[in-house]
Amino acid sequence: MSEFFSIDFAISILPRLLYAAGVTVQLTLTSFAIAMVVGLPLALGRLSSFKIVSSAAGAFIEFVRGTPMLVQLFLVFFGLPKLGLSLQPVTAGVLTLSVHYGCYIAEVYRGNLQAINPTQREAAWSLSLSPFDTFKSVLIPQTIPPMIPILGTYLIGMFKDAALLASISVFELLTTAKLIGTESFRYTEPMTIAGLLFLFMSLAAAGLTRLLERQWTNR
Amino acid sequence: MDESMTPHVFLPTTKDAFVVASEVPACEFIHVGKQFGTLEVLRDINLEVRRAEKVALIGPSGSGKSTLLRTLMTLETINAGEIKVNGETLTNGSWTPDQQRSDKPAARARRRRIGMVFQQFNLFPHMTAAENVAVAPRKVLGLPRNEAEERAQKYLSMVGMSAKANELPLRLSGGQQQRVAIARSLAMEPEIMLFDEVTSALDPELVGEVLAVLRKLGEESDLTMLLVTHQMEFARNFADRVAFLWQGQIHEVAEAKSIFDNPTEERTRQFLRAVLESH
Ligand SMILES: Nc1ncnc2c1ncn2[C@@H]1O[C@H](COP(=O)(O)OP(=O)(O)OP(=O)(O)O)[C@@H](O)[C@H]1O
Ligand SMILES: [Mg+2]
Repeated sequence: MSEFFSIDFAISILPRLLYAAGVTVQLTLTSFAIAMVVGLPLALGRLSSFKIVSSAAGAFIEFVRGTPMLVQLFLVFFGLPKLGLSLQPVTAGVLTLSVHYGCYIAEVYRGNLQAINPTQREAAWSLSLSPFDTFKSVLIPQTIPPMIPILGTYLIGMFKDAALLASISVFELLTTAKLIGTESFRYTEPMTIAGLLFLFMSLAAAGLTRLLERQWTNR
Repeated sequence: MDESMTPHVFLPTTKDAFVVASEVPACEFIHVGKQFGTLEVLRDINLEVRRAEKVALIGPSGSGKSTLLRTLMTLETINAGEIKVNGETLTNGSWTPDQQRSDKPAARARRRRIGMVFQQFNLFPHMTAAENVAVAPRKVLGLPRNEAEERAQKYLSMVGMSAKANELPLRLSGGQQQRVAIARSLAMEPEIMLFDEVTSALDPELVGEVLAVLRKLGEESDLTMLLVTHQMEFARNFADRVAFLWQGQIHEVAEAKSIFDNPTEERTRQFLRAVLESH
């Protein structure tokens, strides 16, 4: 049992780790989808011509981007109950991940919305398109494709940040690997496998990004 | 121009059906003034355009030609006076900017009588030619998808662009993009069409195909058309009247032939001489 890496042991813990990896994938993809949605009103808020709205959105975004996610995670998980809102670890984790990344995504939305030539709005206006249709059919479809590479980077970052949820005992991949370590006093195998699984997820996300990018440019 | 390049336009004509109702001007500028900050860009503009009339706006750069069209499209607010369309107030200088640029249904319905084509085409780059044309009929007029598509086909064929219906703008030449942009505006079936230097961004060999579309529209429809152009030859043959703008004012407005042959104002004469010499 003193060997550096036991293949047998690795194989025996693989199912548990794969299951945990599945949880990480679910957590990440869910949070990512929510972040994409959350980012939009934040970006619009920041672009709003109402000073109060734009300042509030701006302050919130800067706060979230300027503080470590772990701090936010603890605020949500340990702080909110003090205000009477207790959340399950998974819920708190998804909330924190999605709002944290939502703020980054908001800035990308904002940048890309501002980069659209104002003549696009003028064309929409002269066709009598409503502000909502202009936004939905003209502006948003033009902001998404250039965002794909950046969104891919955020998705990969999110897979890795999902490991922070270990600190509020969400049973994702890293928590499980650590748990196996403490149970068996063997860390090399679970951590190696967990690392490989993280790498695999990142590569998959990168591959998906490239695929989507090609899809859009070939259109 | 090669005959095969001429787009086939066949707008239904209702010219004959015109009776007394057409006495109401298609649009009216009444003492319209416009400032950008302290810069006075339009001053006491008065202009009545009859239905189906073609009016060309000419004048030196910065004289306010684009701004004049843009106020009629409500892309710009006005600071004084009033603009009427079909006898109804479109916008009024005493209204707040928010009122003038209202997106309420009633305001949008008034605006719907007017279409505009721009120098840089401004097609939606993520939509095919057909989608560009169909989007407003679908979203604004609420046509079902298949009807909006049929309408798109109809107007694309009108500008000779049926063959490229499924291409993205990126794959089209400038002249083709501009023809799609014209079809896109026509598909909303406006009564007034505004053209702001629609051939200025085109390579010289592509200007003809766009002018041909305008000519056909002029001959075969009862559209009221206001166009800004530097093509004096075209303005002379195409327009019923020509307005010469100078420093934000309509300095002279007259029948096309007479303004070119016998300009009464010295400034008009100078401008025309300068333009003709540079060609
Ligand atoms: N958004 C704006 N803000 C400030 N000034 C403007 C704006 N748009 C136009 N102007 C100014 O208004 C004046 C008239 O501009 P306009 O574009 O109407 O001229 P034009 O006759 O169309 O000229 P051109 O032949 O060069 O297109 C110019 O002095 C221009 O600089
Ligand atoms: Mg202009």
